[in-house]
Amino acid sequence: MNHGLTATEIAETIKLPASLDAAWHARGYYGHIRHNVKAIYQKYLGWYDANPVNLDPLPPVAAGRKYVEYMGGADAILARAANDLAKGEFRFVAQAVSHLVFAEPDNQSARALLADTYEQLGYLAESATWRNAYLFGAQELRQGMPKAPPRPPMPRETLAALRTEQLWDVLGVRLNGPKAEGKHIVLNWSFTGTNESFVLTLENCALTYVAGAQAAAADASFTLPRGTLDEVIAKQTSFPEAVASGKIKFTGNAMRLAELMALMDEFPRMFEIVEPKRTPVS
Amino acid sequence: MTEAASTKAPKEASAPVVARHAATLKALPFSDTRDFEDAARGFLGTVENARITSAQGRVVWSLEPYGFLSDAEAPPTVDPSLWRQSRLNMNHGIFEVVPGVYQIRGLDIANMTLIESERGVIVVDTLTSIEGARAAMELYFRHRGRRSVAAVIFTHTHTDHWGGARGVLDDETMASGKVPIIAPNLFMEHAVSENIIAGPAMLRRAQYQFGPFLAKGVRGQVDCGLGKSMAAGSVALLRPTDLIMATGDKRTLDGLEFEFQMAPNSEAPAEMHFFIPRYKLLNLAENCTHNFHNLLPFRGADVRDALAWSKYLGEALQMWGGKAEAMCGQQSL
Repeated sequence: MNHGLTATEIAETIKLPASLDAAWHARGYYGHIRHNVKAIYQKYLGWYDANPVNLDPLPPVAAGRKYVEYMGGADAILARAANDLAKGEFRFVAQAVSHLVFAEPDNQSARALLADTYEQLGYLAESATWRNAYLFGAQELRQGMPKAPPRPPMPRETLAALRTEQLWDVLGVRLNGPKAEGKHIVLNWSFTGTNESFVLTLENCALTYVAGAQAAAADASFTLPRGTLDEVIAKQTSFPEAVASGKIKFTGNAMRLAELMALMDEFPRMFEIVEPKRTPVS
Repeated sequence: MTEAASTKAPKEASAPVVARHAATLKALPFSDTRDFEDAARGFLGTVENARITSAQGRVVWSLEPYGFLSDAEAPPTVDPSLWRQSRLNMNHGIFEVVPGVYQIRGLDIANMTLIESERGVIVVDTLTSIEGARAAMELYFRHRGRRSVAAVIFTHTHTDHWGGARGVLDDETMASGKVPIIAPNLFMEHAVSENIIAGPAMLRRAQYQFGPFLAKGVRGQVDCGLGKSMAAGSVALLRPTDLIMATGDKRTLDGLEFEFQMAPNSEAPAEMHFFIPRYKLLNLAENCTHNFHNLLPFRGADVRDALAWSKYLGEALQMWGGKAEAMCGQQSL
């Protein structure tokens, strides 16, 4: 790092000493020296390599379209790539044809050639995790994403292990910022049993909280056992049911909570990795 | 096969790949087969094909699909060094580490260590799933006789080391509250929080790391490096009853003395090592495995501290290097 090499350059250069390189227990089956050194670079210097070309690059689809245009179009790229693939220049072929797949995700020749390239990289890999990554990339280019079973809900024991602050953090992560434009919601929470209190505030498209406080001018105030909140999250009961059964007490306008929850995103189980996103994220 | 199907199927290894594998065969010491002897040492018995099913009959773990690894020679589509490791990771069953200390290996991606104490047995790490942990305990009882669980130790916060705890501790034992669950400081904070902010993305990315949707085979998934694959099954997190706070902390568990070493921000945000004087046994959790471990898994995580990690190993050597006669880990060892 202090010689001025960037993460990619270090990975290309660095070798374990001979005394370790041939030791079976030091071989990179799970981690690998070539990605572990990048992790060290990340820890101390971060993702930016200080070259301003990498400060604000175009994202994959926009960059892919321009690369394809500059490289003379799909056919020109594929002809060169097929030639280099046969010579074993897998890493650059993958880089070049990935631009084409991001520019033209329905170009079947491009997908097939990139899949073939990833597959050879997988067959070459000594690291099991590299092999899995390349071969799964090839499979998704050929067959599309598998249908994964729905994500199981978090078990109650696991949920109970989370601090209440972490539950608010999860809500903050799920908040759809653009949908929250112009909204201002303030909710008081008071948990019996744990004696915790919070003010949860939506303002400036961000959800924040203050612990150990209650706002005088809240839209609504809720009082409930923490376990009831866990039941609602685990979908063992619903918020209105818990209110009806007296587990949750409130004052003020409880519909403001419903309004807040309507701004929450549900994250997809699957999303595209080796090709452009098919469903736009807004 | 139709043409459409054939374009979707995996292909042969190309000439440049075959050439590279040939070079690897020459470059690495394949004639050194000590690892195979070491990995089989102390073997007492196993469950057929390491097959574990849930109460509903669903297979949560099985090494049967990896039968193709019985061939000693690597096929052209797998790196020969990886092939060797994949074959080593096929060892499964119960193994004697030293008399009184046993390990269940190959029934999960992680190992369970069973340490016999005065009257019972201390269970170190409980595998990923409740079903897996139950099967591991049954295998142990079959070979060593039934003993009550005197304590449970979680070495660190990754799910494959605590997910199956309810398969080790039944309802009755749990209700009695008499069995301590020992873990490194900040265990609960990190057991779940590592997956809180970016959990959904990590789950999808993990598919690329472990390859659960790839067919197992010479043109598909052969291993995960640390072990064969991710286990399925039910998971539940139990709250520790006793936290280890500092290096040098000791506990006497059912008559057996343990000395602990803290190793935070190493392979996991909360992790610890321990030494048992009576067995002269050192356990380095997942910080010392029979491969080059990961400083940043592909699923995504906070980057791990390589410098701290290396210092913990150095410190462990300094503390116990002259005393320990056996060493075991909780993964791939």
